[in-house]
Amino acid sequence: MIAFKWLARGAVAPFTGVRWPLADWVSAPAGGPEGSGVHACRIAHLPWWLDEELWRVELDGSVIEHETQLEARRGRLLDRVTSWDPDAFAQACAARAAALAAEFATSELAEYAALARNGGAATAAYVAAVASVAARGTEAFAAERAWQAQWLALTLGLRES
Amino acid sequence: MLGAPTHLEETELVALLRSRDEGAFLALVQRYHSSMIRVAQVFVNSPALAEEVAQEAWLAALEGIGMFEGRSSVRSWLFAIVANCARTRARREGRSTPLSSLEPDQDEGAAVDPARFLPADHPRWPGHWSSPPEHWPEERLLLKETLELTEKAIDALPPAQSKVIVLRDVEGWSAKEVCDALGVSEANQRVLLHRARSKVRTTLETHFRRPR
Amino acid sequence: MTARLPSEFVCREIVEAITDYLEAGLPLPERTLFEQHLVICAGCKTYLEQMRQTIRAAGTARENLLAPRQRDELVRLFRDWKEKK
Repeated sequence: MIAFKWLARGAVAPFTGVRWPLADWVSAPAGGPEGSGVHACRIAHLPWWLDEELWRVELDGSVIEHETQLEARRGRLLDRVTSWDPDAFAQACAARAAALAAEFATSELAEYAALARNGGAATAAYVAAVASVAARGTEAFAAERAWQAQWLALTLGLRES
Repeated sequence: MLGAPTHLEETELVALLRSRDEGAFLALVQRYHSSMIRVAQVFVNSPALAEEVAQEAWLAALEGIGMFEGRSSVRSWLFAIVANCARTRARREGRSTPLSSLEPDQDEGAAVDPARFLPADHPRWPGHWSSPPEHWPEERLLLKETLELTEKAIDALPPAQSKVIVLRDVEGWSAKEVCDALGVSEANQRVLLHRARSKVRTTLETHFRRPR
Repeated sequence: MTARLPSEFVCREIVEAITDYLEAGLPLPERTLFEQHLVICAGCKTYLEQMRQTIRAAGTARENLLAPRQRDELVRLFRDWKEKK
């Protein structure tokens, strides 16, 4: 199965600081606790895990579908999505927040628009989602994340399989 | 820690020790004596007593070397011996740490000064950092002065917290080993570890924030 | 007022949960929320890094030197033992 994975600069796992090998299979220990497998993203999951590098990965063995991530027994990095441009993405998210601020003209939304404008990709995306909740209610959070996932898929030409 | 001993290397040392090789004994002593004193001190509290206990432990190890089968590592084996010697000695000297003293204090403060966060009634971002932590310079981290400060901070902790962080983070024991040795629950051990680490981190942060 | 989703972690909660996280003691749903917060919060990411650095410093800190006196006492101990058998 082909999926995606966000890593810090140098193909480093963002939370453990461990460097991922290029091309070699990484296996999770058999019979490990829930969550101990290899984590990856479907396109829909991408906005939750934004980072410096986006990689295509191949997953093997049983794959569990969690709400915002995949968990596999084995995975390996295939190649980097070099067209990933965090600034372009941040601008797109900030534009969404700005549009809401213009439409509803509250100080709260103006604050979010400013935060999104000045933030990096992860901040802008998150704040845009928060702004959409302020404007449209709780369900809007997931909808904004879905929009972000769509943007990534279209702009970067992503295909899952 | 110096380069971790290989299993083969330690097996050889044990074999030499069985044949009463003084060089092998000294190699093990160089490697483990300081740790054994630290572990002993967790139980007997006094540094002088801890040294005596460590020596007793070496003698017990020598007398028991014929029975060491290599199923555990030399390290675990030695630490089990010193923990046993220390506990026995502590009981005899009336220095046993009462279990109640190893329970986390109810009134302990937060891991980080609450003033570093936006208040609960903040209209936008309650509970978020108002004064976030800043990166520590990697090159200053393992300098002698930093390590000495870390050691001092650990020594200054309340005893229960100090014992747990010494065994877990200084000596590298597992949570289970610590719980078994100290007779505390996993939950209590974790609370003590959390408080200990939080305090030491704060000490380091204060240090790194000072202008050089 | 606040537009946050109720289940999200805030920074003050992250610093209290940090040891549970490092001990792999958070159940997966909570661990996921914890990590998702790190994605959007540089301050908490730094805090996690500092916790790891603190642990590393503790593990590196201690002197491992044997004082000559200690060495001599242990050599004596060894030779006495050797002689006994």
